Amino acid sequence: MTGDEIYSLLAPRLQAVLALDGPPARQARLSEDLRADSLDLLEVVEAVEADLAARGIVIQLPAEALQRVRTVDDAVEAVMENLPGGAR
Amino acid sequence: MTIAPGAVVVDAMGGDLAPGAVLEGAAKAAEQGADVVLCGPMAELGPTELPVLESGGAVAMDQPAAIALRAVEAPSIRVAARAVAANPGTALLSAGSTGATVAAAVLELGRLPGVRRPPVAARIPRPGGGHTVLLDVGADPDPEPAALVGHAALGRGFARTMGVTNPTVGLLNIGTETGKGNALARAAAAALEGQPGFVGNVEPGALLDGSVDVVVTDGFSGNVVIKTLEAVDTTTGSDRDRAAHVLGVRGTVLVAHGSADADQIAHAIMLAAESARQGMDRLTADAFETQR
Repeated sequence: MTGDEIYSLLAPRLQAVLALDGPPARQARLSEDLRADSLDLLEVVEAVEADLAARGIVIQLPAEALQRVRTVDDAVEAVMENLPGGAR
Repeated sequence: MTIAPGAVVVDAMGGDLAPGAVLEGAAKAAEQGADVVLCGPMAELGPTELPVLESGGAVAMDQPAAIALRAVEAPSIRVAARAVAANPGTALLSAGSTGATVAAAVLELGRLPGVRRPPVAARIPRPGGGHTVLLDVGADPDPEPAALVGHAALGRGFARTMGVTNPTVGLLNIGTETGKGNALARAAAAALEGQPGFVGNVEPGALLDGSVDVVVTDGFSGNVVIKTLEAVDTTTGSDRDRAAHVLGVRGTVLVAHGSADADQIAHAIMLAAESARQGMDRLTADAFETQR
């Protein structure tokens, strides 16, 4: 999967959880720009994990990966880094 | 494991004195008639006559709560919340991290529509009888001002379950005049203006004098207030609750003090069982939905 494909899964989940008017920019900072906290991030990540599982791709981001996420792009990278070999 | 309606699923690993005090308190509550299910790693809990839902350990207190849920394999609070979600009419109780309990409840039970951060509501006993609802007492220390509008609606719903037909709401402040307070209080007062039941700013004494039914504030201030009241327990009386309700999630969820001893855990379990039997979560949700 490409970064754009991962972003297309993350963006609507972020929009829904954070009640945003539109999809967030990839450069948006979760805390400062989107007022998101760790629970928001985990809700989004679990939703994306479920979306991926529906496509047969099973991943679970470790706590260390979540702690490093500061921007939407960081979240895209974290998901990509944890994709199984065949899905990259 | 099938868990009957009215039962309380207890996070056996949550709390400063867990699991020992939790097991002892659970046994006392069971002796008083509560249907209790413990959740934790059987190897750490040791022998007990109560049913046990197998899980991993407690979440760490030194990480953001949601991240901490991921750092432990099948943490006890998450497994317990999942069990409550799968068995309608049951209640969840934890004396562990409030943040982790709220996070587990949001992830497993879900939020009511329009609720972004579920607040924790405490019933404050008045010296003259009755209770005042205070929220938030610890879930979100830095809420957006608009969040207090949701707190007010949830607090009114909760007060209705206590028999108050048209609850009044005050905003905790350092004075009753318009324009008083810090930036959050001033912005929250503006957001609350015109909301059902809102009567304006109130001073802390309103919690005890019965002048309003519900007092809303941020989770930091609310936590300071409730801990102050508990420290002067002679003022609030001995009938105070040993647990507070998480509102705005789709289930009955209560949090007890991290330092709760066995007797306080037993009391908290009895309160949770009563709330589960009454369907407190559904009654609050219905009242909340009605005024949205």
